[in-house]
Amino acid sequence: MPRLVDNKNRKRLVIIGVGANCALGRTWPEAWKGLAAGQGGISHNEDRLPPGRFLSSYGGFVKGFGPVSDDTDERLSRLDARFLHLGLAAAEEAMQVLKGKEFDPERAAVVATSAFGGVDLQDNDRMKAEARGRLQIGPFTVPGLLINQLGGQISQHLGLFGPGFAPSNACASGGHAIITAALLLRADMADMVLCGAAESAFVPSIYNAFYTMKALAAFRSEDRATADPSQASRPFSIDRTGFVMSEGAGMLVMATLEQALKLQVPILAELVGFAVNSDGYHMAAPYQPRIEKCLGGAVADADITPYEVGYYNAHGTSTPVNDATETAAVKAVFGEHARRLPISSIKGAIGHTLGAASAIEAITAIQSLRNGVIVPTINYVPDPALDLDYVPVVARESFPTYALSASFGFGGTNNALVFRRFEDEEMDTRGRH
Amino acid sequence: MKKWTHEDVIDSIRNSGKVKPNTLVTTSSRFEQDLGIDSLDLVGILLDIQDDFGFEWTDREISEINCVQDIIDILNKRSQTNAA
Repeated sequence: MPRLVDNKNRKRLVIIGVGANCALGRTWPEAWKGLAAGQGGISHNEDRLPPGRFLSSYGGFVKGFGPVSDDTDERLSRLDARFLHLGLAAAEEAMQVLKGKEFDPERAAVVATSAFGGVDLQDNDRMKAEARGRLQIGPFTVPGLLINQLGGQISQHLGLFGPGFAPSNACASGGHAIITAALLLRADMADMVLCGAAESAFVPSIYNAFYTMKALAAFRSEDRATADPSQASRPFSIDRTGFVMSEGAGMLVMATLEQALKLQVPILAELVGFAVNSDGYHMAAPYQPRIEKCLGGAVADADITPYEVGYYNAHGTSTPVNDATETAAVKAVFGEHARRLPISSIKGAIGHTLGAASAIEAITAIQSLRNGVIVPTINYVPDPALDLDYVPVVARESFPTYALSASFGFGGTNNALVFRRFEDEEMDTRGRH
Repeated sequence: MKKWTHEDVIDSIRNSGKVKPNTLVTTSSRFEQDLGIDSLDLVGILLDIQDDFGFEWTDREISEINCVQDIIDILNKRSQTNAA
């Protein structure tokens, strides 16, 4: 029987289910397969991003699912906001593991969030009203726009009635949701938590604003992305010009180790440490000193040394400023170990899913620990100023014990999560997965 | 306001996609109890009728609608006012 508390006498927390969708697949196994194979999911799509309405047409899209496709979830037919459809699908996938298991739904919390919520529904309804020449606007605009509606729909359709929160923290939202889940479990407000984030914010007012503020990738005609759109997002590369906006969702089921043992479900990984802090510096720019504090804080919270971290899953947006700042922060926190530490960003493959990114990245870190495979940073062309090991282009076999996944959001908000590989001998259930 | 018939009103409701197939829609059908249409769906249907028939509901009219006949009564009243 494993110990139910850690060395700091805190409840041990484990991940027992995951689900995700992104530009590389509609389910997590599909997406993982693409990530591990070094595939790129970014495309140039003038149907979704028509010129004349959008300043560029590069993006990462979940294909063939949800509003604006033929395959849509009937349960959400009135809420044509894609983040709800993507989020509910990922939540349902993550909860599969609990099928047939008995648990108290009042002790199952939902922490599901997004950076932007149902802006696509809002935009469509606004355009319809304008075309009618009316001020009256569709009755589902408000319910579908709300960020916490994702948790609401998950609760309604999956029957989870515990506490609900929607911590919206820009591009760090998913990680903040995971941390909020951990706090709820440690505060004994729940036995398990469905946590994560979903995003689909392809509306002109957001896409074009990211583009105008030069956060989004922009290309000259001779750029390699023109011939091959899958090369548009290129974290840590010399020719990176900005991030590529994407949609997707990532959901995890986190439980106390005690609850996981009761449920007799396979344990995917343990969340052993985390940190979250605020820059107090700038509305959009990252701030290296506070990012260092956050990374170092998570390592200390995990009660390990930086040398024990064997994989760093990067925020790695492919913007000039993020990738340089993050590299410098990693060097400061990990010292000499930084040069031996495998670092990769999946944003080269799936783009930046904004609020959902850190949830999908946490799932990636967990899967890396389980499979002994570190997924690559694709589209990589070295930048002499950034001289760490970014696991370029091809996946690498490696069996680290600890993986750290970090995310930084506009508004100066950071999180870092440390996961530990769950050892066979600790549980007799792992092999059954 | 366009010319309209009772059938036009019933067709609008039936074609809204909010009524389950094979559900009988009559002038006496109540939205919530008989047709399973909640207040948000009803607002959506009323916005469509307003556009199709070419007029604008007042807030008071919308709040008084519980069954199909209520819509017909309001439209009748409006047609009489227009004619006069």
